[in-house]
Amino acid sequence: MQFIKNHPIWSALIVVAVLFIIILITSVSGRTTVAEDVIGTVVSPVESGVTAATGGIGEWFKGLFGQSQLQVENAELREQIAQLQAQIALLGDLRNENASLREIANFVEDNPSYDIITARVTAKNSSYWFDTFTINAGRSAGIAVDMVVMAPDGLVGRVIDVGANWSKVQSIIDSESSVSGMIERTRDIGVVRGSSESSAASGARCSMFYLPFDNDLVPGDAVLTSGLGGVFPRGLVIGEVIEVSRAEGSTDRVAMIEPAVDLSSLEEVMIITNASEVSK
Amino acid sequence: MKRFLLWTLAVIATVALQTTVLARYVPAAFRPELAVVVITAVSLVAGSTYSGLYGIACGIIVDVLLSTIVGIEALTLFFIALATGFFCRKYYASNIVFAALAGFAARFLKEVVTVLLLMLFGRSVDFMSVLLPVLLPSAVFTGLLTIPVFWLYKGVSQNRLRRARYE
Repeated sequence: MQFIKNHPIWSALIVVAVLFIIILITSVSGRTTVAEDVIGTVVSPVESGVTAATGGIGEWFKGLFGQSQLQVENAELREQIAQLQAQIALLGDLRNENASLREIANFVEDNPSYDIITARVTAKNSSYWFDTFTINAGRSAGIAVDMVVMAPDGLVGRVIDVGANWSKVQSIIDSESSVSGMIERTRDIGVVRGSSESSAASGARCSMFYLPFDNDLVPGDAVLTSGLGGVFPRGLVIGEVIEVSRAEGSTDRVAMIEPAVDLSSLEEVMIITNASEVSK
Repeated sequence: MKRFLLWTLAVIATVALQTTVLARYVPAAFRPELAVVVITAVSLVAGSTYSGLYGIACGIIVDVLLSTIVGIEALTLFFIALATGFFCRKYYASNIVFAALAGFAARFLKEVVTVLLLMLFGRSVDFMSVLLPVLLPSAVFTGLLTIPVFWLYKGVSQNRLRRARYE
């Protein structure tokens, strides 16, 4: 601490240099280091605890930003309403969890060929430039990099980093995400890419590129994974086309896609551990 | 030791709140950036040393758990600490309106620095799509939240200083 106070400029330069080296190393290798593993192992349970403890608070926040009619309710009844809402929030949280688990159970029943591990979303990146989140299952539960992450409604993303008891998941709306997709009706194949920043501004969106110029896509067409690329098995629901336009400086068409999964309120996910075997 | 423990708790609490409650339940436009709030408040009162270390610690945890490029959030928050620390003990730095403006500006600066770093590493980023609909309101909330945190931290550090002088 004394060194920092006596040599502030040198300290700042050293810190910047070290962080820059870390950025360079991780952006090139993309692998989890021992230090990252230790930090994740220590902090992840704290986040799991906070997530579990704040389920009720979350319902309150949803109410705050989604239901303006609460503001006009009678002042005399507010206290009573607040008490009732606390109970409702708790029940709502349990009901949502129950529904989510039931949907997962149905998905597992309908897809017996998949080996599935369920996990809870513990933390979410609040940045506009990344759409990644952490789940409470890691190496010890059999999770590995590039495993497919699903929700009962469709594809969520893939595992990009694994720690002892946590994993980092990149969702399909992350700007660096790229999935080979197929239009269910026309069988046209393209590449589905995310856009974190436009998703932050106007709701979750992906774009599908490299579609042939003579296709007849219409809003509402379902988009599935094509199975090309080896990571995602064929036939998983990605979302549906909401808009079709022409790519700048090209004859190719670009389709705007709304993901089938509501990625903003994801709580439970399924990890398919044998996706590559199913693809074959 | 006590101070180290308090700072460690503050780091974990900030990251946990930001990545659980705020990131999941509060829409992006209404979401303040807690780390920026604390860094701005601490920098204005006590300079860049503590806020810089706090920023690096918060940033590294977020990077490890949630970012695809480790180090980017840490570097950005450290830069914010250096920038806001420049105003420490300047005559206007004790003004809460200035603290709010600093929090507002720091929120903007953080995203600008992040975008520059991402572009440096070959990512194409559409800054304009978030600037008005999301970043501007989020910066306002960050600035507003800076006021109570700044006021609280200023009070605590003045008390500590007074006690130290008395002893």
